[in-house]
Amino acid sequence: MQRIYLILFALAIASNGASGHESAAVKADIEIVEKLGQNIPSDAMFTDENGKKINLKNFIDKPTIVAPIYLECTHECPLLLSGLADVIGKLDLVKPGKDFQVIALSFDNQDTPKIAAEKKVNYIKLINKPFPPDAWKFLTGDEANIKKFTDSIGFKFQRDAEHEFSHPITLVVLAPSGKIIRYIEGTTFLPFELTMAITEAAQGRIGSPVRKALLYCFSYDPQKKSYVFNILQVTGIVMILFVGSFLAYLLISTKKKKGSF
Amino acid sequence: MEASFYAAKGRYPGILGWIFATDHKRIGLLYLMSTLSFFFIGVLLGLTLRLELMRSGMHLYSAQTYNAIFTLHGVIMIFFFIIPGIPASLGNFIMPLQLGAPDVAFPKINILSWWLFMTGALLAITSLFTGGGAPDTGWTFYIPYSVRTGTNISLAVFGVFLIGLSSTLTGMNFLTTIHRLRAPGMTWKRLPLFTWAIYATGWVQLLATPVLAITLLLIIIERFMGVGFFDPAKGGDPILFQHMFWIYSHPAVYIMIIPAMGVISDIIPVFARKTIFGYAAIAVSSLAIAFFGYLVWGHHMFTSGMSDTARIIFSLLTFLVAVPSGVKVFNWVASMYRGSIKVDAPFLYALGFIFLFSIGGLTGLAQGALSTDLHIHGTYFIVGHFHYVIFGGAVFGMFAGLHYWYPKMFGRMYEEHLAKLAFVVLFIGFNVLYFPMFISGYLGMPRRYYDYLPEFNGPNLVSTIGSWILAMGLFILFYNLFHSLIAGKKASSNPWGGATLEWQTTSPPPHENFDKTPEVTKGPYTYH
Repeated sequence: MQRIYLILFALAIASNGASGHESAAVKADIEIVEKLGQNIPSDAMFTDENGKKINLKNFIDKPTIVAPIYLECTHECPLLLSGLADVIGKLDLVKPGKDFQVIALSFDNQDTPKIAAEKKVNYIKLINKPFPPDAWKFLTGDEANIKKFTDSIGFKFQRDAEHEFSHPITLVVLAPSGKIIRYIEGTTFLPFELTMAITEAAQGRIGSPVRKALLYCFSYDPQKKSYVFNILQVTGIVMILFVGSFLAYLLISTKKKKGSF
Repeated sequence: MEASFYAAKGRYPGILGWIFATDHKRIGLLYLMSTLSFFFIGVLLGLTLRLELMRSGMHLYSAQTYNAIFTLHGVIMIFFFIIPGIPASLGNFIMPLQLGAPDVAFPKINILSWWLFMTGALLAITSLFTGGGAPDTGWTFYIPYSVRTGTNISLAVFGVFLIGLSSTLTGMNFLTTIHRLRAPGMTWKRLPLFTWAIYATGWVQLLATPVLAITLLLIIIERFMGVGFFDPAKGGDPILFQHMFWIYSHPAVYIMIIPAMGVISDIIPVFARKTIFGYAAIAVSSLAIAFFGYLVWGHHMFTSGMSDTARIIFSLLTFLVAVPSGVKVFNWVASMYRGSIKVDAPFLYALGFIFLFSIGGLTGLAQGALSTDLHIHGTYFIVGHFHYVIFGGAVFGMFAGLHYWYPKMFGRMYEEHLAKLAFVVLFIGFNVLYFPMFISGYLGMPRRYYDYLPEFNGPNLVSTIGSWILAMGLFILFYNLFHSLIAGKKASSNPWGGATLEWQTTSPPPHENFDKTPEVTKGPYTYH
């Protein structure tokens, strides 16, 4: 029992930690307003770590995990990105560059492609597995474009100082059409959670039968914010009903005529 | 009089007439031969384990090989030998005869069960030589190791899954047979106690085995699809696995021991020439064990992380399950009181059962109590305990049954002196082998380890010497049984003077068991 309390305690801390820095000035409007099913704007322009201009919506042509962060952050953003790198290394069923891609998008208009390129090298290394560099972009942009994007995903943050923000911690999973499919909060992620979100984001265009089966067996519970599997309870009840009806069958139905053999 | 079932012409000649047989007696013998073959392999593996552990620091093979061998010893002995051992072999052969039935209710499902059993066993054996090598998780397949190890777990687990399916089908088949195919006059109160035991076992098989099947399937899904049911790194719960595993595997202990108790209940009155004491109490206690046995699985997990409330309840239920077991032991002893006892081999093995099972059962209570369990959990005390219960109990019960029904099954008698000699050697070897484990375990020697501290050298050396004596006893026992197949004297139809129906037909019985359907007019243990 003590162990369960410990886990609950840890969870409570983790969920508190999901909303940026705890500075007295904030609290006002730092949150995620989930906009599931809505689309990101079609005209938001950003610059990637190589200095190339890209249109975000056009760029998203496969399921995409977006991590809104700022590059000079020394608190949760590095945790979020390393958590993300860690889990990407553990994904077996989905292949980066083919089934999905990743974007770290800075909401600090003072971040530059140069810093982005430096950060990218580090996090790609953290994945600990061969990874196509084009499948993870680090984007920066100006204030207007950032606001267009963050408003569209309901991501409310505020600048506290020169390089300091209060902001929510979350991943946003987008479909190839730019539709918002799933928010995954926190800084550590389960491979299964991410695989399921990517699979859902593929919107039916899934090749692997294993992933089709997963999609069939699990559903997302928005209250618990996790994927649930009820088969244990179901099979338990089915088994008891089965055994009960077998006993009933043995007791009730007419006996074979004795001596007929 | 009809010819025996050995001579009956079936649909197929020769060996096909056996492996496609639908006659319950042939299927029973198929099971007997296959499970005994696995038993011999298990014994050989056990002997090498004992040799490896003879002295600290002395190594016959690598630690990885040791892990694979103790896993194999456990899996083979539990899943391939003792779970199907009594119910599927002796149960198949004897239970329909005791009912006065011509066969089981579903003869084709009966042979299907054997095929499933053999397929499962062959798959599990294949897993030793393919993939990442022999499984090394122990017979309990504990998570998270079993989803992470590179060895060939999935195939072995699937093999065990098939064996579980076979066990469920056998259970359903026997339950239907006992409900439907009793001869005229064979009321529930005239059912021999062995058949009562098979009946209780059938319900356990039906209710518990599907849980094992589900658990093993979840492991396979977890290994192939990466879904986190049990592995904490994937968001699963390893304790959930332990719960599900023991929800099956504790009742499985009763699948092993209840039929053995049934054998003993049938043997004692015959050799004491006296009706059984407390017939109803013994029959009901089988059902009570089956019922309570289903609710005590948590006692395997006292140190795994559970609330105190749960642990106290599991501990209480564990004590309760000792009550029906105690009822049986007292009734057997009371049945012998003032009987005119004839000490033949089956009776000796039955006495051995009562003695060894009592030690096994009483040491079980030491583990059922929370405070002592924390001290001895994971030590050789546990190894000693379950060998006393499973080997000293279930397997001695099976040997008792084998000697008791041998003349009925094969139509010949074995050499009585040799059988007694085998018992004495086996009994001495058994205690020399397993008793020191209680001592080394109590002193803190952990189980499953490849090596140990020099201070445990003494009890381990004694154990290893015991294993050689035990092997000698087994050799004499089976030499006698196999040799007598050819050289034994012809047996009469009722050499022990039993009153149950299997003794009222020829030895061996004809194809459909009885020349004409028997009418039952008295109880199974009425001798005058």
